[in-house]
Amino acid sequence: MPFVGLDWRSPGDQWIKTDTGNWEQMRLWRIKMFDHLNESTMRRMIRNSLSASSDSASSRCQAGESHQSIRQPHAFVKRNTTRESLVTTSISDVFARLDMDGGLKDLRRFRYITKIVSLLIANRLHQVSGRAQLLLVQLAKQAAEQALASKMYIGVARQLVEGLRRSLDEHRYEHIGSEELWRRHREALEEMQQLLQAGTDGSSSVASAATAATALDSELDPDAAGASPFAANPFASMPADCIRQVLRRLEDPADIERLAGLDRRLADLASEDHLWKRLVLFHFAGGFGGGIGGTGAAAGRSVSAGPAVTSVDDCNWPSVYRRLFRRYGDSQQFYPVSLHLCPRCSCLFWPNLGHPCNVVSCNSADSQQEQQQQQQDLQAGEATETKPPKLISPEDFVRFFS
Amino acid sequence: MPNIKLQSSDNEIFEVDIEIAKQSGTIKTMLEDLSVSDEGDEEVPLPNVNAAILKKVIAWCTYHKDDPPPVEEDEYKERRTDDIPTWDQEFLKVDQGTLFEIILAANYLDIKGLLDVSCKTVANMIKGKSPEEIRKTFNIKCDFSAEELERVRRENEWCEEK
Repeated sequence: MPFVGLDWRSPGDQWIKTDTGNWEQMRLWRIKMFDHLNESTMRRMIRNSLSASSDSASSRCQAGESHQSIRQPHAFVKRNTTRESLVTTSISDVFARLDMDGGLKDLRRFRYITKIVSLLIANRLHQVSGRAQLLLVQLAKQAAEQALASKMYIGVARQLVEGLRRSLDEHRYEHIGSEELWRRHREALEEMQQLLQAGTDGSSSVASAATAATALDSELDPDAAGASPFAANPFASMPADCIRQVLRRLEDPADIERLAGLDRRLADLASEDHLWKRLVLFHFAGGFGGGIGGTGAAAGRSVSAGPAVTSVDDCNWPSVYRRLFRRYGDSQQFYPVSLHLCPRCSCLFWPNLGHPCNVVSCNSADSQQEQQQQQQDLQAGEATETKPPKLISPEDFVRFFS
Repeated sequence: MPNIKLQSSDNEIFEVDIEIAKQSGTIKTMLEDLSVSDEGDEEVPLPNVNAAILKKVIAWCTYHKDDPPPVEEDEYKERRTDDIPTWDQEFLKVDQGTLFEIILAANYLDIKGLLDVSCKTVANMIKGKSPEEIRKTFNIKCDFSAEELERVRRENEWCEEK
């Protein structure tokens, strides 16, 4: 029997077979190709501007231009979903439009995207279409590769892979798609596990090689080793001030504790009350991220915890921070960048890449223009609410597809 | 635009636009307090920074010369700890030794923005790693005795409780 799509009135999609042997919708494929082109151009520009420091001013301009010429990833969300629009907005569609795989390469978006992917993998993997399953597995793999390449967020990648394994085990007999498909997911999973394993082993062997080299150096020339403070113990021998600066930028208490367990000096620095007090005030006092609606309730509560506690001088800052972190740590304030939903045109967009639509007040451009726009709207009799764009947490994002 | 001459620890001299050099709090204070004349030919010695690192720092300052001045630390709005601009991410793709020396230089020269992004980069290397991995990454040797290790472990356990 021929396959009749749910949206049977549309002429259907054109599909294209990619290099990896998967099928991809032509329109999504075009978007992706365009993104990749832009990205490689931008990387080259940045690299050029780094190497040619002499005329960095001109290269800066170029880099700026290339930023602007990039397509702004965005996707429209339909609030009053009709049957048709529900059918045509698939996960793979939205992911391609929001440039999720490109976003993984951006350090600022990495954690937000991996969170979305891990949520979808944990709860939905067996319910979504085969195409979306492949996409999710592929994104997980990209995340693992990216973490290894940048040596950052390896923990996040490991959690993601572990979540995938659990989901594959759990829904082994109740998933959409063929057995073959599930088997391929499993192969991809094993590949990822090996990759992560090899990556961490590889880095450790490099490190031990470096240790051996420095040991050799110091044997050959003890004076030289003494002269360079970085010969033996690069991180721990930094001045206390600098280590404090680094500690301050960690957020998970577990990370700080693990660091404290390494070295006597690190332990001393990590137990300083000042550090923990700063962390509490930095992350949990004051309105989160400029009072953006979604976090209102959570922010309100923790704000009240902040000042109330500061009045007590001898409070246990480490424990305060740990408790606050456990309670609110997973909320969106820890994502450097999260998707925004424009209340006017219900369009999802990345705030650092800008808003795609040309309604002036959406872009929060000139205040004058904004006021004019408001007046016009008032004259037109529309009830204008200049709400700020709404922050979308990964949980909210996943809910769009339910 | 007047220039200023900066001398690295290995006696290399860099001529830099004075506005660019003023991103360094140390140099700015020095110029203001000592009221060094702009057309002075004297080099400013920076004994804690070598030529290779100074070159990197100047490149960073040149790129960021039009940035708004850093806000005071108390009203520091940036909450997101791993928000590193793309250019800086590329800029800081260097070996670890260089990265740590950049941190030292940024600290010594008091360049807030550079110190911020470089510390964030190191912090990102630490996040989510096991103690053994951190030890290997940064080549940290354990200087605890067995009892001390036990004590640290117990302290952490106590912290874990509510």
